[in-house]
Amino acid sequence: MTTTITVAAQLSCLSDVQSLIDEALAAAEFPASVRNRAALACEEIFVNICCYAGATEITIRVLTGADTASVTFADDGSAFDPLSAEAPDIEASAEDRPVGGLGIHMVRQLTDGLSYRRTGTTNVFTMTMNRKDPKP
Amino acid sequence: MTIQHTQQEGRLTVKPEGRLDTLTAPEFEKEVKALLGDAASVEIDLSGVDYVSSAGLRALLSLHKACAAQKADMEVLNVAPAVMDVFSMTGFDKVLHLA
Repeated sequence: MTTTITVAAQLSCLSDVQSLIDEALAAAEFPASVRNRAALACEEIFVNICCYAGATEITIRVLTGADTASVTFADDGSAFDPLSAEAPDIEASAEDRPVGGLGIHMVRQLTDGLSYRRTGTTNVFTMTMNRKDPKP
Repeated sequence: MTIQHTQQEGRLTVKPEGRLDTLTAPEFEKEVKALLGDAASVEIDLSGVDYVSSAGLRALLSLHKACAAQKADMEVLNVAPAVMDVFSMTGFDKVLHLA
C-alpha cells in the first residue's frame, strides 16, 4: 500500500509527517518498535532537508509491503544528500565529545537500508525498514 | 511539552512531559538552564518522555556540560525502553549518569 503527503519544507510540519508514517505502518501492522524507529529516522532526515536543502516542498511516500516498509522523501531543493550534513555543534570544544553526525549515525542505526539519488531537479532519499525487528 | 520542577536544599529535580525533539528540545534546554541557579545536584526525571531525537540528546548533553561547569552532578532517571535504545545506539548511556 502507498500513502503520500506533500508538505512545506518547514520544521512545523514534522509532526504531520510523522503521524502519516506511523498511521501507514500501523495500518500495515508493523510492530511498535519499527514504528518508533521510523519516527526517529524520519525526524533526523526531515530536519536535515528543511535546514540544508533549501527546498520549498517535500513529498513523503510510504510504501508498505509484506516484509519491508520504505519511506521516500522527495524535495525540490538544490542537490543535497541528507546523509552528508549535520548541524554543527557550536558549543563543542576540544575536550568535548564530538556530537556532529549524531542524527546521521542514528538514521544508519535505525534503518535497514538508505539510498539517495538526484533525479532532474529533485532530491530523492529513501529509507527502508524490515518488518522483523532484529532488536525486539 | 510541559516541565515540572522542584528545588530542595540544593537539589533541582526537573520532570519534562512529552517529546524531546527538534521543536521542543531548545525550549527544554533553555528552561532548565534558567532553573539551574547554584544547584549542587540535578535530577532529570524522564518518566514522562517517550521520544528523544538527536536534538533531545544535544539538549541533554548541553545540560550535562552546564552542570559539570558548576560542579553539579546531573542524573537522568526513569528512562523509558525506547529512549534507552536511543541512548545506547549513540553512546549516551556512557556519557550521561543514568540512575
